[in-house]
Amino acid sequence: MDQAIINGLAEGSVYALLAVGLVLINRITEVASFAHGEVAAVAAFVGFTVFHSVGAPFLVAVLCSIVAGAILGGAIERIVIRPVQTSGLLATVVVTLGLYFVLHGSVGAIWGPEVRPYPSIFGEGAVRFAGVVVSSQHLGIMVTSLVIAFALAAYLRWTRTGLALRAIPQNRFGAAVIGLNIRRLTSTAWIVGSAVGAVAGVLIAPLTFLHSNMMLSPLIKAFAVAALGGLSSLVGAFVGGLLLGVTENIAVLYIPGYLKDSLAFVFILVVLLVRPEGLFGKQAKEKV
Amino acid sequence: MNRERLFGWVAVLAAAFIPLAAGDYWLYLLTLTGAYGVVALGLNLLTGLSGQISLGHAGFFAIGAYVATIATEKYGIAYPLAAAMAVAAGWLVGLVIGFPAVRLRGLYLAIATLAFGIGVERAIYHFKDLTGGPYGLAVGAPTIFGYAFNSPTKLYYLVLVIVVLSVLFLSNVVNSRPGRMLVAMRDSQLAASCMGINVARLKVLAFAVSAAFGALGGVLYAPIINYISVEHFTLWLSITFISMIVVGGLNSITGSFLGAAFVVLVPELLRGFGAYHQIIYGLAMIVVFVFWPRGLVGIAAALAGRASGAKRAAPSAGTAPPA
Repeated sequence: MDQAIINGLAEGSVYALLAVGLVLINRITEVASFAHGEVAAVAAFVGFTVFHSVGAPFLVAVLCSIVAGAILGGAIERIVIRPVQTSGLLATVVVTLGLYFVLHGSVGAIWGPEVRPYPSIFGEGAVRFAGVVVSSQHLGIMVTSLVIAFALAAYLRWTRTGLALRAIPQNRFGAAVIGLNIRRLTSTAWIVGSAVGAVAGVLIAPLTFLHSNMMLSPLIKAFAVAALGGLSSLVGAFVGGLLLGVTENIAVLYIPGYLKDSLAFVFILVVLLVRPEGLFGKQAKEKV
Repeated sequence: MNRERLFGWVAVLAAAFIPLAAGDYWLYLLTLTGAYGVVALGLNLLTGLSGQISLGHAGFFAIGAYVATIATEKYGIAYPLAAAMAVAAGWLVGLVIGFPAVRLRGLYLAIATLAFGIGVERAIYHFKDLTGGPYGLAVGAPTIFGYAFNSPTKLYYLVLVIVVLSVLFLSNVVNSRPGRMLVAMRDSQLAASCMGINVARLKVLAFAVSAAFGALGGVLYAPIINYISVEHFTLWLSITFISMIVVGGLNSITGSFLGAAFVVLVPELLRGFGAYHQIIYGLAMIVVFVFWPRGLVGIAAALAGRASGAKRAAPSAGTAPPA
């Protein structure tokens, strides 16, 4: 049981990071990107290539992953999102789904369908902690996620750009009136959100192995936990991620393994039906 | 009879003669296009006409395919009855999902239906005894009153008849009171409810009808490919359905079938390059929304407009709505 909780916290913190990137982008730009997971996958693959083909040290490769994620996020915003930004929900959903196909197909075309092992930044050791064995990999994932989450929180809390970013969802029109450069900030949100997603990709790759479908189920789980926070609460997304990870790993002790993924969907349905605005979110329900 | 109807009947007449010229392989592709096209019609009613996004239509499609197949193959129920049961099952599940779903705003509905679609996929996997799970089920030729539709040509005509009936039904719905109510609701929910439209009931109804069409598509699909298994009904298929109506042209009956033809033909033309057809689907979805909001049907209309020359001036079919 203790072991399940530890494993759950580790997996959950990856869902949490992915969800945080998703929520950050959605909160500031009002676009929920179905391509978010694929951006992370592309970033992980880029890191893999830098590490294996170029032979750079692994940490450099990880940095390249993050930069790749950031660039890709910025490019996506500039090239395909900006033209449809104001065309309504259907347009943004369809365009990000299209991006999902394009990125997924590109990964398949460039790197092929093989499943590859992916090295972990944190080595293979293990630590004993209060009677539970924690592999250094799991520990590393948890610590990294927490550090990134706190760094992001600090960025939003204490920097000028962070302040501006927080102003936008509060009052979009007002933010423009006081002279904030909404376009530049939208770009920033995509870049930062995608970079955070890239970190999630690099963290999860050693657990799931590197292959073109690796981010599909984490993305759907990220959506599930993001919905928990009404797609707008960063704290909600993070806590939700941890919660889902732990729930899954405890549930697997009692249900067949292939149903593990279904929990996320039960999660989504229950949250959406009981409290559509999420446990932390604002009003999303419609009076009918 | 207006222009559009005339065009429709000419198309049906032409379609009726295709088996004289086309080989079995092309007939198979066209039949498949018909089955997908039926799904696109239903999805267009939901997404195009009433503005709700479903990412779970593969679920209804699967329900149609499995109910019809299990009823005929395992319980020996006559095919017409089994098919009706399958469509009814789709309708019923659509109602059940639709009731809570109407309370959800756009994006949340998309996420909830996505969860539903994947739920169906897992259920097929879980109830292996009934569905065959990953091993699949063989599907026999549909037999109606002793007549077996056991060749590509016969199957083609069966699907053609169903397609014509579906189009007639849908175009009547669109041009009738409920259809206009749906459009009013999409344009402004508040205004629609002020006019006395029961928005909730209408949304559930649209969802259920759309689900029934999804199931009907599944009923037709199963005998076309002879064999169904869990991997045919994934999230990919749901997204492919969305790409179908978007690429074909939202809110258009012709567009529904152009879109269906697109998703059937692209993988066939690029056989062996699985990764590339995803890229093409994806690019088409993006490009359509960024440049040609009316999709293939808009392009076709623009070409036709140019061909018919200056006879029809400014407000011709070729003018795209402002993006």
